[in-house]
Amino acid sequence: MIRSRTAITFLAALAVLAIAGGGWVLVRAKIRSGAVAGSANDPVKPHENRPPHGGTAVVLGDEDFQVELVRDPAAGTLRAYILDGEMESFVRIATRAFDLQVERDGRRETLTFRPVADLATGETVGDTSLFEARADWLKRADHFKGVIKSLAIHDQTFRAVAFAFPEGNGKP
Amino acid sequence: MLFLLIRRGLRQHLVSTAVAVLLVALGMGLVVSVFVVRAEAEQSFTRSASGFDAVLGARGSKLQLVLNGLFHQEASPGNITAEDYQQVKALPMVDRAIPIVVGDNFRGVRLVGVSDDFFQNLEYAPDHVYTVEPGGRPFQVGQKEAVVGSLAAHQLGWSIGTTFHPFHGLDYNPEAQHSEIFTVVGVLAPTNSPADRVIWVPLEGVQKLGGHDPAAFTDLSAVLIRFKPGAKAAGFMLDTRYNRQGKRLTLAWPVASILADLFAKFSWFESALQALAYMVAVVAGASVFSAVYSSMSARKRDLAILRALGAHRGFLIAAVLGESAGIGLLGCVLGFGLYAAIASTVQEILRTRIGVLLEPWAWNPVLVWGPLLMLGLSVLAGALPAWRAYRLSVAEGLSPLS
Repeated sequence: MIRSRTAITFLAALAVLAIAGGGWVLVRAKIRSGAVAGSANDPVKPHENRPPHGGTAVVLGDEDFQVELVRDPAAGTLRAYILDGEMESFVRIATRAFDLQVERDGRRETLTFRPVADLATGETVGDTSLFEARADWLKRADHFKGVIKSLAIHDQTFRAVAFAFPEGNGKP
Repeated sequence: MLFLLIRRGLRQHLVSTAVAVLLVALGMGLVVSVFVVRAEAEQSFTRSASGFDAVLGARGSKLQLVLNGLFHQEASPGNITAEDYQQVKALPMVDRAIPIVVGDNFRGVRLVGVSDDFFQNLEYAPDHVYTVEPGGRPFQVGQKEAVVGSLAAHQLGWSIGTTFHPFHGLDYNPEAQHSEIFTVVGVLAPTNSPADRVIWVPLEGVQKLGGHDPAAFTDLSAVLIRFKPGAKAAGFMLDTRYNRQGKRLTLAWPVASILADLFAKFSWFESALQALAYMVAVVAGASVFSAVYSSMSARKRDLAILRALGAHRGFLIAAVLGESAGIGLLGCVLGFGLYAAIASTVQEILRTRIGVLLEPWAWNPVLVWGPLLMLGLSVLAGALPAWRAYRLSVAEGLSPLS
């Protein structure tokens, strides 16, 4: 006679298997949903110290802020984006202009960056993260040395920030 | 001989066999449904992005923009200006920019104001463009004319020449009827996308309806954007500009990723269903065990006689395992029927309520491993009774019952 105890043990093992399997699936779901919760609507947080436009990063102070320089050779312009220290967020400032002392081919030039308003971003002169300088030589010069003479961002002022273009100022 | 023995075993305990078959069918139907419906729903939603790469709208939720702009669900997060549309349209990386306006309905069916670009060679899927069915034509800009989506036309019983008064708001309120009369001039050829569920009218048709704010006559709800082929960096560039640098507008991009996030939010529910399906599968295995176990116990004497007549032990194992496999096989066949019923119900709900078309018989690995899982479980459930049959001694089997 086949013992019923064996059958009950077998059924119990199946029940344990079912409960364990179900629990595992639910725990996996909890982990998975926790990992992605809210990601569709959260602001982009790349956590990478990369210039958002692929330009030249110039670090200000002890990575308090960064300036990303992007040259447009066709238009002969150099755009400067003011960013936070991690280059994750754009920082809007009220500065009306700032100068960049440039040394190239033994000559000295001064570029004056002026604020740019943009309907798309809602930035206005006096509340913008984008500045632009224009010069004919920018159409050709792809290497130069520069010094930001003075740039005020909120309550901090950064002076004599030297860098090479397009390498940046050597800080990560 | 073996087949006859299996068949007799199954028929001898018809009730317990039928219950086991039904449970296996239920287990398989649920396992396959949960996996296929989830995967297909996500793919169908992505397919239904109507050929657009991004949606530009007021500052707010990307998901809300996608649902409102592409799926005609949810309310618009706000308005954007005509200048915003002109600016994005002029960008070199933008292939098509289609402005839309929402805010009115006809008995719950949404009116969507759109530019006439919509009917000009706009692809909603590769090699498929939006067209009006023969006999109709696209609406004329500035006229109170409408092109009705195929599903909406069927639902409302409309055809060319039908006239209607729109109602204000996205939800039907009989007291909010506009005085303007629109005439249906065409029915949109079926696209199996959310475009089939709405009534398409000229932009101004919605913007300048009586009662709307004259100051917002040129405002738009969103702009649907398609990038030029090869403009791979376009999405990143505009994402940086509108979402990171900007604080006024939101660019919902990439649409597929936003929809994937939406599905990921509901993964706990999907997993709960998976757990339930697995549990039913295991219970089905237990019922197969019970059915085969009792069948084998009842036929212990027959098996002993077979052994006495020279049947090999392996033959008895094959007979018992064949019985459990038979239950599994029948359950799988029935399970496909159950899956077809579940899938077609879900398909109809999604088609009529959201406008996306599910393809339940599109290739999915679970269509193979689901039945194999149930078959394997059934065979496994027969292992213990088979082992008992293997160890059955002739003397024990033929000993008197009392």
